[in-house]
Amino acid sequence: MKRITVAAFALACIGQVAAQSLTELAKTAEGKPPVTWYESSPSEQIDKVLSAFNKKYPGVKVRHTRLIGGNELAVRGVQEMQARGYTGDVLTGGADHTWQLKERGYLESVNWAALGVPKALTPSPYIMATAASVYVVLWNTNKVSDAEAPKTWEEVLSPKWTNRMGSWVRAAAFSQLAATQGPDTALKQLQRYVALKPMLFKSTFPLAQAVGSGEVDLGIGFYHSTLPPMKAGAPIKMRALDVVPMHIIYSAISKNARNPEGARVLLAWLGSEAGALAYEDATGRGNPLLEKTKTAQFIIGKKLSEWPPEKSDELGALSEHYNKVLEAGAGR
Amino acid sequence: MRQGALRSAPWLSFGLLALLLYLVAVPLALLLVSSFKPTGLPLDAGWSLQNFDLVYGDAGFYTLLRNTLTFALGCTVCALAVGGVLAWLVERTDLPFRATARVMIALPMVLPPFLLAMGWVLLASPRTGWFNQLFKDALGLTQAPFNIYSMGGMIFVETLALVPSVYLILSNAFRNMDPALEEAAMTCGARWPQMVRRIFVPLLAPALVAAATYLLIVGFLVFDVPGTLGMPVGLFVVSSRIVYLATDQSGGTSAYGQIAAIAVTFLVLLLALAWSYRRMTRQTNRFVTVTGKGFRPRQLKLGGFKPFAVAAVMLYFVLAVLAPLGLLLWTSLTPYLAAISWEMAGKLTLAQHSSVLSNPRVGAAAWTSIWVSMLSATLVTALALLVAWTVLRARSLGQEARNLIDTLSFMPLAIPGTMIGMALIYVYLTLSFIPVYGTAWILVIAYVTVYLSFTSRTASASLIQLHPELDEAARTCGASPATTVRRIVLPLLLPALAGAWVWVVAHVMRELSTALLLQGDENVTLAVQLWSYWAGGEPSKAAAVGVWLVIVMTVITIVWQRLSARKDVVFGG
Repeated sequence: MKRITVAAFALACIGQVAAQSLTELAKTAEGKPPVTWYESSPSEQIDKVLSAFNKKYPGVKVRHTRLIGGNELAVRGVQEMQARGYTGDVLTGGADHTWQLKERGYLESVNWAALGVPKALTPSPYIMATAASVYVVLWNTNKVSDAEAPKTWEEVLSPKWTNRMGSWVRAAAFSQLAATQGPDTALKQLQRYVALKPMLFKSTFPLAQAVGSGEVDLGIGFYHSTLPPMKAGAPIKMRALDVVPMHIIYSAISKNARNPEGARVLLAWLGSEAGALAYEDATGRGNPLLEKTKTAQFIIGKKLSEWPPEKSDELGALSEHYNKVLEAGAGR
Repeated sequence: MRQGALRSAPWLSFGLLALLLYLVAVPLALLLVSSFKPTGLPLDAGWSLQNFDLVYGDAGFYTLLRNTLTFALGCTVCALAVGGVLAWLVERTDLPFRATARVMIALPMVLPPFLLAMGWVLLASPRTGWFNQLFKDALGLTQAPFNIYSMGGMIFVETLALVPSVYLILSNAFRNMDPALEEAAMTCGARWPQMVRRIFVPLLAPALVAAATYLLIVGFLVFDVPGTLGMPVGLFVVSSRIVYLATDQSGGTSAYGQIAAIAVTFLVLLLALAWSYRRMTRQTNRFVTVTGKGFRPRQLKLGGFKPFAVAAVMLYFVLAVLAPLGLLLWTSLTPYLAAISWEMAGKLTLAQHSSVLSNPRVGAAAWTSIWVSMLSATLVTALALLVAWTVLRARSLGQEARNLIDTLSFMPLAIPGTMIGMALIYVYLTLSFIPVYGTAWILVIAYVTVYLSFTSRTASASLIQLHPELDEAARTCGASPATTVRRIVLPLLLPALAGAWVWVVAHVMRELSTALLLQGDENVTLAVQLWSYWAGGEPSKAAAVGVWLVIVMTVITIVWQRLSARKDVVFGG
């Protein structure tokens, strides 16, 4: 009991210190140029996030630039650092993209604990988990009953789904499954999946629409990309499987940031419960490491499968191989 | 002065050469450097051939190449055939409602190809396609008669998208053909097939080759249609690989080095085509059709074939515009992507249009698109005229320099949009005293570069038909080169240049890959906004933007058509 009291007291102290520190940082940030935030969500969605942020920190201005994906984020970061010595203040992308920038020495080391960011979100001083793309199975309720819809990966790979399935054109779900199942098992699963002759889509957003329109009966997609047609009333349901592959989305502060104080305040807020919920409400992407998010609730009790950021190279090589297997075997 | 040669100011020709070197050679050089860099980023350390090894040492690449060749050749042949017949019908026959026909044929170029493809998925997908349902119900078929997810489907939809470009290149060439040749042939008893083979094809050769070259390269590089119709069923082409390398390559960054290594193949192919084109058009007199003698292009009386000709134009319009646009309209009214059904009819709503029209970002993007497209079109059309004039008429530069200008103006066609974007980012981050990075001006520079190929071919194909005696007559009367261009050349080329201008406006309005790569917070275009809705899981809003885009472009196309029609009156067309 005494130990718990001491720990609670220590946490409260840290929280108070962090709050004080954030207030000071916010004051310093107010006199500087807007924080530039490179991220991939539509600007309309980020407008809502920033509106919530500015309710708490009205003086800290943030300018969002939408980059189309993680690869572009990394390349833009490298190009800008090489040519002019600075890039976006806050960079949000996948583990492999942010790690690439870290390896080049373009990211700032941050004392996250001093900002009050939970330890679970910060696997390294350079990056902080802000959201995740979580794999789900989704189905058209006019074509597949809830009872028939798969609950395990084994059921997904059943031959009865031949010519009825669809997924992203990249085999990333299986690459991430390999983190817990092992590369050989995941490859065998992928080969069985390819034998089902799935339709392949450029991204999981058109896949979700195709499930909604009845073009495919069953899909392997993302939680956040399934939400828009579901919210619009499309006949779609989704569920997480027994093992949940996912990609954590990380944010980082760049070296030579124009407004590093503002960047710290923004990330500390995104790592808080209020910030994570605002981001999830706007983008559909929640932080599975913060238990109050809908995403965390959706996968509660499930085993998660993801490669850690420091193994990005291993994941990259595996993904290249798996993508070729999918491309070579797919097609109706 | 040699016959047909008109000395233009040397500074203008040298200035043009310098501008083209800056616009084209700089990105080209960065592309070549990229191909030899291990990371593909020009400023990174080290040199290597590994990108070429990764691309050309992969057996799978040759499967892609085979698919791509089938697709590109199929589109080229089909688009040339359909576009050629339509251009001939409109310009050389007494087809009724020609003005309307021009608008109907040109209009599809405004539809972003991925929306056209999406429309055709809803029409001819084996599972949910409306046409398939209709035919199955009407004929009692058990299997769907159409499958848009096939190589045939890809070629069909891409052909529909490319026909307006062919039409714009060929229509002016048809229009400028002297009827005396046809009349002479008919007097000698020649039949139509003979006339086509002996008169039309030889005289139209520059325009046909220009169109074929353009189509072939576009067929190699275009992604929208193969990505929407081929990828789902495992039909991958080279552009699928380029998009993969740019956006999905594992390891954390885009593989620009490999993209550049692929682009080198296109550059070689393009150089070969450009060389063939120059060789073929070396004797420019062979292609002259507009001389000092006035003429009124002969109009073939279609007689009993008139209803069939009208039906052909209508069929194209229905397939390329009405059907997919109808589906686009349908999608813009549905709350989510759905096939046509009575059940969905009850859920139609104007909410998407209302949301799009009240979004200030859409308004800002529309304004950016409008001014960027119009300014880019104006600049690139003027530049194309200057290129054509310098290459074909000016003698202030030597033959080699003029060949270089011709080749440089052609080369951007072979550079993928993503590579142009990457190169421009480097250029304008480095040349920070030109503050265009992150602004809409960088888009103008990109589009002037990207669309120079098409406009310079269009201008050259038309200028080659004008006899130099027109220039000489003006010169004899004491006109300066500038006055000659302004009073003689420009009015005669105006229909072709106006067509090229409209073509550029339409293509800039819908262009995506360069706009996405160069995107900052101040230069979002309507196409990017449309894509943003699409990629964000809101296809109905994307469709609503598409519908309004078509409406705006319809107005622009009608104005262009009116302009062309007025030139017909002035110049006896």
